[in-house]
Amino acid sequence: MSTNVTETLQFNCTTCPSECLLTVKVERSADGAVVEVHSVTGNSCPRGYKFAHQELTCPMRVFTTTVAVSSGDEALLPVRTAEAIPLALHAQAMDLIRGLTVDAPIRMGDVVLKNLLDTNINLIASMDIDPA
Amino acid sequence: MAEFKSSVIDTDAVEAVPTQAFDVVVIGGGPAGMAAALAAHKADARVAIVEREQHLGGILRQCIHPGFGLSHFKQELTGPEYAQRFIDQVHATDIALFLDSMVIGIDSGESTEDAAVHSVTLMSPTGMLQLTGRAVVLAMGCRERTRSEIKIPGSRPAGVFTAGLAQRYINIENLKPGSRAVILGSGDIGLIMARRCTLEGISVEGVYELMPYANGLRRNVKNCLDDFGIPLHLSTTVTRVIGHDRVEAVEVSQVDEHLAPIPGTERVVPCDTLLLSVGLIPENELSVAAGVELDPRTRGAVVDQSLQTGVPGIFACGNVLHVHDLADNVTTESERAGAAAAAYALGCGAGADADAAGPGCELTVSPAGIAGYALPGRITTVGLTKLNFRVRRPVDTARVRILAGDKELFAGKVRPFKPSVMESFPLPAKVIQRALDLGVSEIVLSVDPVEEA
Amino acid sequence: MAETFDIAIVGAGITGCAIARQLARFDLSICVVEAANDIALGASKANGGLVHAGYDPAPGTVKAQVNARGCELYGTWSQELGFLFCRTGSMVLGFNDEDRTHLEQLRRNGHVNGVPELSIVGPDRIHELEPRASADATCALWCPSTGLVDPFEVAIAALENAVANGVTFMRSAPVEAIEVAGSGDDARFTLATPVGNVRCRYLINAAGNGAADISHMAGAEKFHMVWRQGNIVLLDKEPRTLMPLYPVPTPVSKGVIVTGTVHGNTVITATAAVREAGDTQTYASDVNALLTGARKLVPDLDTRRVVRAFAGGRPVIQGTNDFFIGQSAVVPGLFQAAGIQSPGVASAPAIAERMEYVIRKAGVALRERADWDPIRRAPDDFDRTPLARKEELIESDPAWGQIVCRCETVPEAEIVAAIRRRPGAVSVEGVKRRCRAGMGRCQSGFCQSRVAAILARELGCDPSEVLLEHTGSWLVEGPLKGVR
Repeated sequence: MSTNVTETLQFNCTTCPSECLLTVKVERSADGAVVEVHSVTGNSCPRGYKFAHQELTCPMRVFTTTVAVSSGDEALLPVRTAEAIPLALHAQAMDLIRGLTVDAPIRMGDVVLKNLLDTNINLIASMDIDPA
Repeated sequence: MAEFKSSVIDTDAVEAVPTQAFDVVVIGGGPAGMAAALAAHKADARVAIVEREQHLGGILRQCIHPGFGLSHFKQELTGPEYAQRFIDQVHATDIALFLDSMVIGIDSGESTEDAAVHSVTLMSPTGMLQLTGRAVVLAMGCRERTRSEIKIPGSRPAGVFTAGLAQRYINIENLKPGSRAVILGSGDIGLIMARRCTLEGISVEGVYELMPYANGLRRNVKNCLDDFGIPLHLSTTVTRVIGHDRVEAVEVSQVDEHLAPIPGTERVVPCDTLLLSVGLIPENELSVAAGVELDPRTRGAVVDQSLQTGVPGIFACGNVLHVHDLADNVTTESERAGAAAAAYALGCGAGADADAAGPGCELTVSPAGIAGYALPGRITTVGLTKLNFRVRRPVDTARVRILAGDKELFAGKVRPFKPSVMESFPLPAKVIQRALDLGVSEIVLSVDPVEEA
Repeated sequence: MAETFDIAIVGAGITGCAIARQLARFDLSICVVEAANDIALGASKANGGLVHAGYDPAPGTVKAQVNARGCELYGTWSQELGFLFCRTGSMVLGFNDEDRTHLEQLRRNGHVNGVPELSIVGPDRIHELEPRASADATCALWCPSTGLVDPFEVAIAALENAVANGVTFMRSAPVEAIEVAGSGDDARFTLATPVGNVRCRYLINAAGNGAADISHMAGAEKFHMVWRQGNIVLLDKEPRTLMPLYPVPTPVSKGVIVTGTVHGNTVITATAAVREAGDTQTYASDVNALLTGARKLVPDLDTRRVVRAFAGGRPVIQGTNDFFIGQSAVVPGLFQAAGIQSPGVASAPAIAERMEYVIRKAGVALRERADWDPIRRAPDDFDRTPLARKEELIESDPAWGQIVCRCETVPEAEIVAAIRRRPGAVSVEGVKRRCRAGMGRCQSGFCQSRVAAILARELGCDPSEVLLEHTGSWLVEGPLKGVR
């Protein structure tokens, strides 16, 4: 275990508008994998602690983009993932969505793609689109 | 030279235009207008919203990213979702909607004694129309500062877009504005567009920022730049646009502490697109034409604690009043304006105020120290007053102080301040009363950096 | 074989367009050949819109002969062609005794050049005429005949009228070579362009900054153009339009002038620096010089309200500061209208008039056509239209009520008209020059995508083919979604 490195990182928590600046002491193995989070300071609520752990292991973000609409009064439908998905999957999600087309009418919350990239998270409509 | 006047409103002709009467006419159907209209409707006013687009929602329709609603709805929504929730609420009421309609003038009538009835003249593909109301709420939002306003020299090819225009092309029009972009300005729209471009296959060469710090929210620097490895170059600006027909490159230079480009630091960055996120300006041409006085610092109306402008019965809220950081704060402010407008309209008299608590007074509020502005600029009631301000530069340790003459009436706790955040500060009635007792006509909101102990 | 025109005019700047309009009344076949894809894209574009009165040019020069006359002709031209023209008058402000001596000199010049009603006035009259003029001004040359125009509108109106009277307009046709046959040949000149050859009996060179090249190609007079570059700043609209205010001129230029525009904006025009030919860049030093210079004349000018800064080159013939208008001494049948720098806009109607005289004198038969119509019906300018007419327009077509450009109140129907008129707009900037969509303070931030969509629809092209201005100035690449 002598090859493990302990480092101190600083980043902002983005859970709420307070944007607390977190200071995190983390121990990593030689290949960069997180072995242990030693301490999280700077957070003003428990969500900051949870955020720091997640951020170091698998950063999660809500993914948003647009999908082409046919026969709607708008050319594009804004979409989002219902929950955050791994940041690492966002580029792959874009590739999947590029060629997709949905038909109007659409209501906010309608499922556009089920279980996006096997995340168990749905891609849903962000807005109503009426027929042209 | 009367022949130079544009948008001439011929009073006789206006009288021939069909008229509809309301209590409160809200100009703008974005987040500010919808929140104001809903609040006015809740107070039993007859309300109309005039919106120039064919849909309600305003600029939120193209802000497809998350980050909205954290304080208002206690959950993270995208811009369109945030808008849709209000659109649904508006549709559930009998608020009259005038879409695809452009307001060409507000006429406040002759009367100055009583509450005048304001006439809002609008135009749409179905013709001209006049809406009357005792109260008008200005909620027209803002526009983006342009290349010309920040005087970037060089040629004038295609490919220079304000960030919002590029956002419209990408998120609304389904069109790719270029392949290789440089972004000037680290305001929130610039940061959001850096991520958006990257995801859509437009490579972002870098974000350049004139100031020595990022102008946007920390969450956006992290989620939009750091997540994608997009470099942020501080104290650097675009000093020349290169390319005759389409942008071929931009020249960037470092700037000194006076923000002047440092000769010898020029670097040419090849790109086909330059996005500008260099500030927002409240759109008040209509307000000025209606006789509303503007604050040169905010470029929005001078208002009192109920968000009423200098013209009785005309209220203002949202980004047309001052540029906000979060849509949630626009909503909160606009609900106040809408409620105050309804109270004014239904109370039918001057001074009828939503939070008409205390006795009247006349105080002006001015910013000092590193506070860039203070809002409201006037206080006419002794009552709890919400003050808003922004600092001009980031500081780690500073405090808010309320001053009257050479007396300090209040001092806040020492804490950090960032220009990206619109600060809110509750001014207690007793502080206002103390200022009045001192016989002053002005109180000062000062944000002063302090040395750390 | 292609038609042989009686006359080909090279250049659709304000000079070429004015000449085309002047000659369209005669029984001649005329073609205007333009290198760019639209009208007034060269020197005419980078202009402050002032119709200078003519006290400036040295007496005896060609400029002196055409400037005051041009200024005078704007009255009838604006009425016939339906463009905005406002004879505001102007003042040259003097700040000391030395300036006063200069003003006296200008007044004498003006008198010789035929400029009417010039007088020297003192501080009281200065502030009566323009309350915002600097309080430090002790004297001024008051010139009531100075006027304002929109230079694009003048060129466009003139060419529209010419085309309505049968003139052919060829755009995107840069002249690459000129073949000159014997003087007896029916088609003496053949102009080679990428879109085909143009054959003509007589050739008029109104090519602005390209005039030296055209003259050389035809084997006529050898001269060189100097690119005397000027930066110009356009400020936002003011509640009251400013009267044109000039400083005492320098030997090479009129100095930094502040003036209102016909649309109620303020323009600061122009710097003068010899730069590389074709350089239309703005420079920080020039823009600062303009703003500083303007504040000397109008101290309370809010110079933060810049709507646009732009630049162009004045076509100056090296070795002379004068216009060159006349038949070539080397190649008969070629007529030169070269070196039309400042005051080219002011002089344009008189240059056209003089060109008519020159070619008549050269023996070209000019027979008036019975069906010539001097009147150009201007398109409806919605923003300036009285309310009753606005309602009528919306009733006739709902697109008149669909405002696309909010800063300048330009509805969709007005944009469509700008594209459909002949010659119509083919680019976003072409639309802007015709109906002001995108000309305002947001600089098309709100309306560019809508104007582009209307252009694509009207021109029947893909959005990726819509141009901002010149060929190659593409706006967008194509769709992002719904594509494989």
